[in-house]
Amino acid sequence: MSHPPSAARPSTGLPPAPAGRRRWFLAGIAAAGLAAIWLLGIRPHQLLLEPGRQSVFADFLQTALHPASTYEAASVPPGTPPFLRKVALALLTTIQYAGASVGLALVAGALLGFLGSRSWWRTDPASESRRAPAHPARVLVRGISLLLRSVHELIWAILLFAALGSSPLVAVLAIALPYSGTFGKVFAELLEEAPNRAAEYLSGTGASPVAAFFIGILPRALPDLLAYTLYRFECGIRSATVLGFAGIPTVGYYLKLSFDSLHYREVWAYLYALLLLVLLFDRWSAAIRKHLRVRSVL
Amino acid sequence: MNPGSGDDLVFQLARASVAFPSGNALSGVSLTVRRGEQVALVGPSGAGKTTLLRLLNGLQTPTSGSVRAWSQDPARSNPASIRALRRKIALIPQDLALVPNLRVAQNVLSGRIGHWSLLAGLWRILYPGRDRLLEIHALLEQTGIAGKLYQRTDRLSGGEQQRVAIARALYQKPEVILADEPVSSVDPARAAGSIALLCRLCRESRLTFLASLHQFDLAQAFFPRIIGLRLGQVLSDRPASAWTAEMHSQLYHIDAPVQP
Repeated sequence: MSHPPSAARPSTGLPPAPAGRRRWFLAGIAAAGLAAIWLLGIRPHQLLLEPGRQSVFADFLQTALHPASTYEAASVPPGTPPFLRKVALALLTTIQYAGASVGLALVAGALLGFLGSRSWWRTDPASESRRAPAHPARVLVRGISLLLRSVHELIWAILLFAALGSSPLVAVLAIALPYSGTFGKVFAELLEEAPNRAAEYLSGTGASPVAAFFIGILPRALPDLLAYTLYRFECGIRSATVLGFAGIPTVGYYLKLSFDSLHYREVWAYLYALLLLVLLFDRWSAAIRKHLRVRSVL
Repeated sequence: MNPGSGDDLVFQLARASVAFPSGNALSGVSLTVRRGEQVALVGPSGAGKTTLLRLLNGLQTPTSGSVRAWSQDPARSNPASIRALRRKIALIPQDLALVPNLRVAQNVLSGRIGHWSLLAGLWRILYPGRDRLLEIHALLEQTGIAGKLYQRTDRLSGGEQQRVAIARALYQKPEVILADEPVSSVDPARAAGSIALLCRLCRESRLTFLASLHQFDLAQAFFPRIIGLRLGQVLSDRPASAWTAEMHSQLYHIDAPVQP
């Protein structure tokens, strides 16, 4: 059996192989990460070698198994509510702050997201190309989004507390401002990624570009927009908790008080309560997303 | 027939050509379509059928030559007048372009969005109102899917979704329906059923109907007039009964030279 000559020399006539730059890019990122660890003087094996560190660590873990269900202090002032009731109230306050902040950010962020997406500014979706040049107003909106989210909510809180004083409204603004910027960016991108054939069609039958956007594109993106909003609400719970360290009476505030009094079992009780809250919220948002996959979105 | 005189002139193309970077999609197409006509555009893929349909409502601008729709030039219209023109022309695209995660009623309703103000349109998508729902239901009865009124659209079969697109086109209250390979995604029996339905509904409402088809037998069975396109040129434009087997084979035979 002899092969034909062309099969015997498979190396000739092959088209040039593609460059495959991505694998080098990923390898480069990993190498940069390792280099950064080395340059920062991080030596993971020394983590628990410090004298006495191991017993402190063991104690801390020990308290994790026995979270507090009552106050750890020997006596509390008369009229103090039971500990678990206090935990529940702190959670409720945290949810309220998260709800108010994310709700406000959703309104502003939806506006930034719509105006920041190419889909909004297309004057004739039916015949214009998808990659039309950037509209100046869109660039401006994108810039505002960037500005808002480039500062962390904790920094916003420090700045706003200094300028406007500490109040619930200012705390809500501190979270809502950077969240608006994040909503603006992510919503704009989700809207640009959404299939736009129906918008092209509607524009082809005489619909205005904005009507084509709202009826042809928004419903396609809506499940993703909603899923992201629910995720941001989960983030909002964490942000509201962190603002407790700046004095807002959310879980973080009580967490810090217990921590400063070295009541680690109370600390764990608050942490478990937060975990439970996020877990319940995660189940609930999963149920909503499942519902949207089978039912009409509007 | 004295061309150009009557009010019943709908489309008029004079030596219309469309050049793409990859080559000519249409070269020197001249034709006239009158009110109430039912015309099939046939020809192999890449013959220019879709481009020809897109010229008629201004989705495509001719590189040279002229296009007139009701004596208006879609290529040289301002946004308001091109929208007014497009409101009179309903479309049934090959991929249907439905919104899959909306209800059937909402998709049908979206056909008339161009006639309404933005706020009215958005409100009616959410709350159509009893009268509109009755009208939509009647259209769905005509197209044979009345039971699907409140179904989510992507739960329907391909053939049923096609009928949603037909109902949406009729709900637009157009004067013309342009259908681009409307039945390419369903089996031959259903394809014939859909084409028969479309032709009957257009005849009943005195609508002008142009459809591009790649099945010649469907064109011959249901359309009085057939325009054969090949390599961007009109090979033949005549009544369906006047098409010979020889013209048919010339249309689809890729290697055959094009008769000028």
